[in-house]
Amino acid sequence: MSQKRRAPDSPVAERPTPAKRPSIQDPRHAGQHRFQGCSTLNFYKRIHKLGEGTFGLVYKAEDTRNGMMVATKQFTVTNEKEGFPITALREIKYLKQLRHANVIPLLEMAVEKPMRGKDGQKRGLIMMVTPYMHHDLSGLLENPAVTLTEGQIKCFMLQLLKGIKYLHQSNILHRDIKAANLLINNKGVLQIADFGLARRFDEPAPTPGSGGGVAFRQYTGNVVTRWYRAPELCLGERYYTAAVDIWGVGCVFAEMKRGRPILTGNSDTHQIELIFQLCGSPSERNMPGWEKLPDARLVKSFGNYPRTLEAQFNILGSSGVALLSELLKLDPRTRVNAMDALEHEYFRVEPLPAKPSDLPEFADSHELDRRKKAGQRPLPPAPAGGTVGVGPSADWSGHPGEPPSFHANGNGRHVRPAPPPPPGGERRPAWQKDSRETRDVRAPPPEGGGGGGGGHGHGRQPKGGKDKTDTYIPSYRNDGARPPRDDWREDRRHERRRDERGSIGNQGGQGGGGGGGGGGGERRDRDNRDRERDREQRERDRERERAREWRR
Amino acid sequence: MVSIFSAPLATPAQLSSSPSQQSGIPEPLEQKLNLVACRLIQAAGILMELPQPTISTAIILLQRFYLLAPISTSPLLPTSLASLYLSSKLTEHPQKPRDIINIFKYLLSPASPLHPPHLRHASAAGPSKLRNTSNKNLYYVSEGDYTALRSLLLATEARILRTLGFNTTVHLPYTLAFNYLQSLGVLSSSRSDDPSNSNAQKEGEEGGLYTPLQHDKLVSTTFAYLTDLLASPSRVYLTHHPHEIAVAGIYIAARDHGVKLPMQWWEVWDVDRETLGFLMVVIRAGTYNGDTSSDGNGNGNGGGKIWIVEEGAFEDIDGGMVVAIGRESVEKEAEKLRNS
Repeated sequence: MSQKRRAPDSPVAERPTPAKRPSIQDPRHAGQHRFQGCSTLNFYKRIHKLGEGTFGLVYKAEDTRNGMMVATKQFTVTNEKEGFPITALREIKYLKQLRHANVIPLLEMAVEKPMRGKDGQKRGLIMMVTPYMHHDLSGLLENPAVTLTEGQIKCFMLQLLKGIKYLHQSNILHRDIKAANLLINNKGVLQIADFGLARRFDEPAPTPGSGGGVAFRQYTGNVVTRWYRAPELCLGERYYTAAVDIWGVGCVFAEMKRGRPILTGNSDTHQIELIFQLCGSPSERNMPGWEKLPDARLVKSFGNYPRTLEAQFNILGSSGVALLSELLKLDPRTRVNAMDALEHEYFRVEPLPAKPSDLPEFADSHELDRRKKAGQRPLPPAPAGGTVGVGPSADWSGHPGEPPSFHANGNGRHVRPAPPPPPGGERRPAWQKDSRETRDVRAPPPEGGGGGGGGHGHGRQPKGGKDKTDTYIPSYRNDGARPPRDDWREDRRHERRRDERGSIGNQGGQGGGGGGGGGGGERRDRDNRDRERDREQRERDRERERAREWRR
Repeated sequence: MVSIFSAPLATPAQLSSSPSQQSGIPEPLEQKLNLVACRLIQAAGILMELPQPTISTAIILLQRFYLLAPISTSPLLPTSLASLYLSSKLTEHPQKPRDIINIFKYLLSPASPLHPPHLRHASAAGPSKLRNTSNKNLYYVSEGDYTALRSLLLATEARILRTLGFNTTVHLPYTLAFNYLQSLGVLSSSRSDDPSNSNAQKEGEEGGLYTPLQHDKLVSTTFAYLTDLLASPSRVYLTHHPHEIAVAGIYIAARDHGVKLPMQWWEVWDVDRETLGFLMVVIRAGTYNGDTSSDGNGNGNGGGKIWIVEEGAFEDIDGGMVVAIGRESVEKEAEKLRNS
């Protein structure tokens, strides 16, 4: 608008923009008249790979403008289907909004102009640039040269809780807290990374003394890597709160002491069982209302487990155990929140928390390096198909943000639900591979299968729920359901027989999408129009398939 | 969290010589197109039952984008599609490209209420039975068109993101306005026996007894003004922070309803008199040709009406004007304006 548009007699006619307001494009970069935060790939020189994921690769790189070491998480965006992945959009948006010493900063985005590839599809390369962090906690713990002292553990816990507190006060759920997502540099600073699953929550932020609060609405159930998944999530709770992150913090806490993950379920059902073996079987006293949770009946097949948490973790000392049992409370409503946990006496008794600057420097520990040295480690953290059959590869989905790539290497990431709409081409193989893994994991049908099925059941939602449901579901559905079609159907059938869950009615719609994806392997390369048509065809097939199943 | 009170603002230079103007599109034309884009997005959002924040975000993203990219290389239609698509994802109400494309195609078709009536009759005159049998044919999107439009949409989405440097956060004034209204204590609950009413009555305007205002009336008028401002030719969402816009909306809504507010209340929220004065002028100026209707849905009841076609001639007709948004039509019109 030019000045002439303003009414001549307006008191402001002469006032372009008051000086006290920064009249700039980006409040953070005064004087520049462009939006900041987007540069090109040329500025970055790759050094070596830190990890890999479905979405792309994570590299350690050098910013040639200032010599700074950075981690770049890159992903390819094609024009397929859903455009820019919503999970990546979220991650970028949140990272740009958040500013805290214990949350990984997003330095900038680097993009390369889309080039027309061989197949005529335009492909752009997009990277998220974050500072290079020397370790991730998971890598650090497995580094044989490293043993964390009590003071160091307290130091990391304090930082972790501060970061979580900040996130929750900013109304953001991280939803994928795990050791592999906690990055640590050689100055001893811990930063929370990987906001690929993060999401705003609508409830008021937790306040001191109120635990996790109460959820007003449903969110998608398919979140958090299985090993770090809170009991209410395992039981299919959709009205969950910030308390799910706190459970993850508890798991990480115990993991730091023990040196390896503590609850390593190989299926969703197994995971719940492990949790109850640790915390005792649920009752109205320790987990009010648990029987009403969607998957509560899974628990009935378990024995009655006594609580073993205190006995298992007495190495933490009495105040440490006290904190751990607060963090790992079955009842999400009384589970401590980050604010209150920071005040816990654990942090005030000897040995006092170390200062970050006092921490020794270790050799860089990334998961990938470790794997290179040790060959394929047998136990990739979480269960590949934790949720939707999305395997490790899915990890990237959203996390462009994280710098050092621990995550990326399959290990960390099992649960990544919904890699958005990625480049079909590259992704495919990974998928297929995953799905196979997934199936294996789940295969032992009686329980295992059930667990897997359970995951599907609540993780997936009808995409319709405009308002009520979490929105990255659509991509979830597409990707998640896609992999192994047969496998998937297998699961489904299983689930259906097991119980007639309300959600089954919805599976029609969801299944359509999933099935479409499933059959589509060889069709990938066709052009869009064909694909569209194919999908319709596949939907019809699926419809028929379903009818047949019902008849049985 | 970054303050919700600040937004990236445009410089005066950016506003007075936008890339579109530099590329040869005269300012009046640019303004018309800007307005039309707002209307299209607003109408599409309403048809898709998207919440207003999603729609508003889309409009603001589009306006920011056009500060940095000319209309001539980023035509209006794909940009509108893409910004609505993007904002639907950003505000957690994701939509399918297919739906967005269908809706826009409908809005640009002769079946749409936005289509100029005289052209509508003309096109319907020939195949008149077409009208009767099925309106659908008027806005059928063929597979080919769809595929082409979708890839255009997605490419434009990427361009918007790149141009904005992935700064996709848009702070809207609605929640702020609501908050401010609450703090001002003028929101009587809808029950008339509510104690807060007695206070309100004391503060009532001189003479007339103050009638307790329905809670939602003041709020909805305020929101309507805030939404209206999106389409203002001054593009105040690019020049003012959300709290200033919120205060202006409250001010004028309160005046409309005769609600008396404390002296200099706007200073509490750090808005100075001049800013408020300027925003008043903008609001009063309406969106187009003295159109001061505050219907809030941007469909232009009353005042000068705007009809939108995809390709065609720009013309002023009885009661409004016709704007074409296709690239060729825009170029032709720009040419015409430059020569005249």
